[in-house]
Amino acid sequence: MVTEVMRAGAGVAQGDGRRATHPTRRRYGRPIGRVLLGSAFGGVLTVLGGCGQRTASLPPAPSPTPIADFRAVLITVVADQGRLQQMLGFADEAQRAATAAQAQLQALSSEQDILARDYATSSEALADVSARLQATRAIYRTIIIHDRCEIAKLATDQEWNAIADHELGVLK
Amino acid sequence: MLIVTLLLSLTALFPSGAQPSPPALVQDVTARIPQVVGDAPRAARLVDLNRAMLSQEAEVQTALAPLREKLIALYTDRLSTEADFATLTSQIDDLRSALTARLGSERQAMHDALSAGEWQALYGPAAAATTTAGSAGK
Repeated sequence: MVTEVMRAGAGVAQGDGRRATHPTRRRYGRPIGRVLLGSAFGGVLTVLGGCGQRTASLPPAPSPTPIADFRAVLITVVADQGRLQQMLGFADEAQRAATAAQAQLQALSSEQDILARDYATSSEALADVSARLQATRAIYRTIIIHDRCEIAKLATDQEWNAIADHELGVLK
Repeated sequence: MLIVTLLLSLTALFPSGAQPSPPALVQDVTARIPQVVGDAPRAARLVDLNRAMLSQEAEVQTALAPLREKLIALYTDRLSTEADFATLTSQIDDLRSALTARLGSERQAMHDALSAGEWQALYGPAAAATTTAGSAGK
C-alpha cells in the first residue's frame, strides 16, 4: 500500500507537465513511508494517530541538535548566500514554532487528561480544552507547513534532493 | 533534520486525542469493569460500551494510516504546496472530528452509567497509573 501511494504521488512536475519519479525515491527504491514509520518514529506517529492516554505523552520538544544539523546541511548544499539566508530564516522559524507548539500542546493535553479523569468535569469544559488544542495545532501547523514550502520553493531540485537525502539518511 | 522536526511538529499538531471525549477514556478497562461494577448485567453493558470505544479508535487508526503515508509523500515532493498540505490535514481533522463526536457521546453514556465511586475506580489517578502501565506496550 505504501508503495502504491509513493508511486501514485511520487512524481515531480516536469517542464512539459509530465510527472517523473522523484530521484530520491528512485534511489532508495523502497517505500519511504515504511522507513519513516520505523521504530525511530513509532512514538511520534503514535501521537499522530494516538488517542487515549498516549495523548498525554507527546514527544519531547525537539532538541537544538536537529535544527543545527539541518542548518549545516543547508549551508553545505546551498551556495547562493542570498537564498541560503532566506532558507535558514524559514528553518529557524519552523523550529521555533515546533518548539512552542510542543510545549503548549503538552500542557493542554495534560490539562485535558486531568479533566477527563474527573467525574465532575462537564462536557463544556472538555469541549473548551479541545477547542484550545485544535486552535493551537492549527496555528503552528500553518506556520511550519508554510516554512517548509518556502524552503522548498527556494531550493533547486538538486539542493532539495541533497536535503532529502540527508533527512532520509538520518531516518534510515 | 527538518523532516524530523516537521514530522514531529505536524504529528503533534494533528489532533492527537479524542476530543472532547477525554483521552483517559480510550483505554481498555474491560477487565476491571466487572470488579468495579458488581451488577453483572450493568457491567456487561459497560464492557460493551468500552469495547465500542476501543473499536472506534482502532477504526480511525486504520483510516489514518494511509493519510500519514500521504503526509510523508507530500513532504518529500519539493513541489508540494501549502494547499496540498491543507487538503490532507483537513481530511485528518475530519476523521478526528468524527471520532470526537462519537466518543463524546459514549463518554457521556459511560459517565451516566457509573457512580462517582465507580468512575474513580476505573478512571481516577490510581487507576490511570495501573492502566497506563499495563498498556504501555500497546
